[in-house]
Amino acid sequence: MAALLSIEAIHTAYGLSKVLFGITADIHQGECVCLLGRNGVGKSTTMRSIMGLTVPSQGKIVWKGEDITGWAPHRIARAGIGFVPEDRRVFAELSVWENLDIAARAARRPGPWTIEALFDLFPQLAAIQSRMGGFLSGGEQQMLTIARTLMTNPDLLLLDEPSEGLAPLVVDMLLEKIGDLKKGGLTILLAEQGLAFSLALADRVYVLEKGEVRYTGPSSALRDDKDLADRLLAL
Amino acid sequence: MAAEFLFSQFLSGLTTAIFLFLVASGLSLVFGVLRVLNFAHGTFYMLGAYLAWQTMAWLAPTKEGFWLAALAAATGIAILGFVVERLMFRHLYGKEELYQLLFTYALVLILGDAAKILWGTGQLSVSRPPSVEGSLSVFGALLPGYNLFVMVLGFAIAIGFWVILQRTSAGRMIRAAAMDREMLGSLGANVGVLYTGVFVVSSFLAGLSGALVSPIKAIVPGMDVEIIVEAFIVVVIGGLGSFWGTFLGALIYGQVLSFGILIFPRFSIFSVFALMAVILIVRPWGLLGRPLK
Repeated sequence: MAALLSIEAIHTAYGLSKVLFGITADIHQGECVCLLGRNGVGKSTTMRSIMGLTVPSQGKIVWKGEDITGWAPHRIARAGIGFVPEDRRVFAELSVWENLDIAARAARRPGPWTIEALFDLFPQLAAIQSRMGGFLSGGEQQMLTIARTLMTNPDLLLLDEPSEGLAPLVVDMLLEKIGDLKKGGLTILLAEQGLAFSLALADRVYVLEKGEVRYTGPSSALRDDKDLADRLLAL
Repeated sequence: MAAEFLFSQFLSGLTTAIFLFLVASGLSLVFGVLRVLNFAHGTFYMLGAYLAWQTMAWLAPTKEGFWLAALAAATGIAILGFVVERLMFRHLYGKEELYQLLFTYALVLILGDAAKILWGTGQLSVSRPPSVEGSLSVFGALLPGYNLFVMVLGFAIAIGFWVILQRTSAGRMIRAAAMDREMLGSLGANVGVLYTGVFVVSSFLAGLSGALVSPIKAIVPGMDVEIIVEAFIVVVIGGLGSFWGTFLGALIYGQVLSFGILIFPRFSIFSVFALMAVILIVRPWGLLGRPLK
């Protein structure tokens, strides 16, 4: 079966500083794949490259068989890739409801996710729907930013470090919700630093180091082989 | 008598304020969303006045043609804005302020000279449409019907503007673009088209204000620089990028100028500059603005 998304040997730089050196990865329909690695290894840059926010200088991104390298981000979003950025970036001066509404209108992709459906998934958001984005807690912001991207009814969800900076209880709650999304059939590409979080969700992992793929395999391999996991991540 | 006189000063300040608001709101909107300080905004205003005069000259016999001329001028400037944004402005987004300033200033010089070539350096004037020729007596002060019309229109535009920004999805999209362009694009919004739209609306307002001012003020080269300096003062007082700040700034500017003239007849503009200086020291981001991150 052809991959839903293929990243083919991409090199990406911010101005003169190169960050990715030939990353290759693919994601199949219904999978949850994790990019694992410490800060600065290129996880976020890989996501930005997929989303068209930082265009790779070499290599290509193929989505559903079509080369989308160099497309504007809004075209990529409308083609079905949803991006949840690391720093959340809720619109601080729009209410929770407005944040969600705007996403639906921006992407123009009707589908199962509506504001009501998302309030069912995250009942906490329903209670604060008229509150401004800037007045939310970190956990609420993370729920909102995931919900906002789901409003675009994506076929693939890019989740950049969803657990970062959140209290353990909130992380557990998110883990459960993302698990539900995965069970619902959503394809997810996750970027994480923490082994526990990623192994709990991912089917396969790519371990990144200095802008290259150092290891790739099923997450069970890392789960079962503690030495391997330590070698890859304890550097 | 004294009360009537003061009230008439107040009305004249209010007229000034409404014109300034119409010009400054577009300047502030473009800065708030596109993050470009458009020096050429005043030039669009001046060209609006010239276009209104030109259309009137073509429509010569009918003075009521002014309404059509004003609309034509505003539309013409909106089209100019569209071309300028699509061909040139979009290369400025995210660039250093210095480049933006140099570019928009170059536009001021080029369009200003083009206006001189087309319409000469003399004064041109447009007569008031007869339908609003009379004056109205308000608490003993005389208010020309035309000024009243402009005030009502100005307030209507201010309220309409605000309702659109706050209550419609297009307005929310514009506010979101001002907050985080990249994020909005990642959600699927075509931010480039949104930017063009904002720039066109701002140009339309500038052209409209220029056309509307032409029956009250002579059309002369240099009115572009004069208005842009005034509009800058307004947004500095009110807070750049803040809608109500611009409105408040324009009201304050109008009144300070109008009453300042009574205190320092020869230096009326001084009182406005003094106010701006005080605000820059005490609250550099303006009365209703917020500090830049």
